[in-house]
Amino acid sequence: MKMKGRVFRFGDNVSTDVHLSVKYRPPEHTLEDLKRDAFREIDPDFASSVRAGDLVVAGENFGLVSSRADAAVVLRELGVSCVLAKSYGHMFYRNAINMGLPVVECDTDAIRAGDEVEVDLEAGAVRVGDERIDFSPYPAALLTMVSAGGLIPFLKEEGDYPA
Amino acid sequence: MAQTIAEKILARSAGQKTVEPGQIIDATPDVIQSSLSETTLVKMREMGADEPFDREKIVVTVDHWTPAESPRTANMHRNLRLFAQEKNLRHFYDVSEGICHQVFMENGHALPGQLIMGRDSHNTSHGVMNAVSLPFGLTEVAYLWAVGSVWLRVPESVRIRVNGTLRKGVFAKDAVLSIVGEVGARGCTYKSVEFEGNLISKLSISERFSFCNMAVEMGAKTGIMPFDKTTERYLRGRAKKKFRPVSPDASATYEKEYEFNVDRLGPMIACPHAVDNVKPVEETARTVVHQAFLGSCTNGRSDDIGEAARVLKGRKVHPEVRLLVGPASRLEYLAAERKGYIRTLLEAGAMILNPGCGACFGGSQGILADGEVCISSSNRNFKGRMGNPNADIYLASPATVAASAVKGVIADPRPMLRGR
Repeated sequence: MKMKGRVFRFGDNVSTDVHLSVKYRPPEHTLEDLKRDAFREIDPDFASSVRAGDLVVAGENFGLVSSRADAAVVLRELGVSCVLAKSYGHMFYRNAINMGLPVVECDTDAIRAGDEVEVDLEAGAVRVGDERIDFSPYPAALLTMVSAGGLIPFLKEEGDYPA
Repeated sequence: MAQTIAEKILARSAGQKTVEPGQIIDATPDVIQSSLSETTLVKMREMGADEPFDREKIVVTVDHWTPAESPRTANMHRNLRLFAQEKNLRHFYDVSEGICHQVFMENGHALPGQLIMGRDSHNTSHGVMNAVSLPFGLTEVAYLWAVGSVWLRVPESVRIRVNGTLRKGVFAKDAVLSIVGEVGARGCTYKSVEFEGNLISKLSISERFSFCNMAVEMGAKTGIMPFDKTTERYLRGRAKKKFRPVSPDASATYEKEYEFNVDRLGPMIACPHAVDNVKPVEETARTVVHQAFLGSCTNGRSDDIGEAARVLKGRKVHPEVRLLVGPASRLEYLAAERKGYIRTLLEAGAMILNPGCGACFGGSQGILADGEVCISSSNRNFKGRMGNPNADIYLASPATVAASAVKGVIADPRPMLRGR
């Protein structure tokens, strides 16, 4: 599975409360509301300028620390093809794979906003210009699941969970 | 091979003798804590399952956005209620009962030695009963309802030893905040945290609960307490099944060990906008507050309400502060009422909310205005947490919340507790 796109760059400790900036302001918590205001607190133009295929690149602990899968869904629904970060909130990481959003743990120091980046999940490689950043490739079962579009599409196709 | 508590419990859940950190296992939980979500049902059906795998293992609580604030939420609550009736789910707790984690524990669903999986990140709380309790997103809770087991990677274990004696006016919450501040928001990412030490053995279940509850704020996968007489007493009359407490082997491997001493600790505050941005109360004193929230699964039990009442007795909430009190559950509310705490709080000018998640997550109650400051006994102070990104949230003990509500600024509760 390969992704290619432009980079939106965030820093460390971007919590799921920031992913979902209006998340609980009733009644504004439909998916459309969440999408419109995603990351508004740290990048007000994100939702209006992100295009299908773009990548989100962050520092440490991206998506701490709630269990809300909406934080991953909102990125997928905005067309984000992949997230690269140095580390993740563990529930966000797992939710993202279950929701069909590829998330990669790698060194992101050299990646800047606006860079064109290519990610190869099988090969475990990120390409930024002439630079190559390596990461541990997904185990085959998780790769199949994320390629299928997440846990539910995977179950529909395969009939069982990757053990 | 010597095993930690988490390794022993996970090995049993996977039908293996031992497990190692990093190993991927297929784990079968003993019980599934299912906080409100109709989405769980929708997802389970999308997966092609109509029947839960084992209804005895499912505990459902309707606790977020209670009572319903919109037709959308009301429909969601109703559909869950109807599902519970239709499928004959015996362990169903409706909107009157309180926050899932408190309700789950007080009704004896969390037992020593168990593997508990569930919805909501604060599902780590049930480790207080000497269990491994893991939080999941709702799609996987739906999957657990349908199938009954799930893959996971065995976490490395970390030991946090807490010794010493808390001084008057300093509480378990202050110790927890200071530990989160030291260890950091990602200091225990995907680790299993095992607590021990002579402070822990002196603490009540309610106080220990705050440690396991906030273990997730250090990124932990689970936070586990040792089993002792206090646990045993708490479970008497609550546990409906036999259980087997688990202790670590003497030579078990911990990736990291921390040691804390609370002898000299004072009241601590987690400042905006990160739970690990922790400072002594002196450094934040005189910050003007507009709202004070005493509640949540972290610190909304009767002993927490009692600590606030001790500060508030004979005093008045500052005229420019709203003090909101959200008991963690109906039973804790009742206990606080019996002890006269509720009356003391009302006389002081507090507003008592129904038991539930309440103002903690900005769901439907106590949302802050632009530019406002809230001091809260809850667990998170992220930007937007209480429904408005243009507001600041400070986290503290119930006593500090009460003292600040009286003073109108963040205040050290110790002078106000003198002679009380």
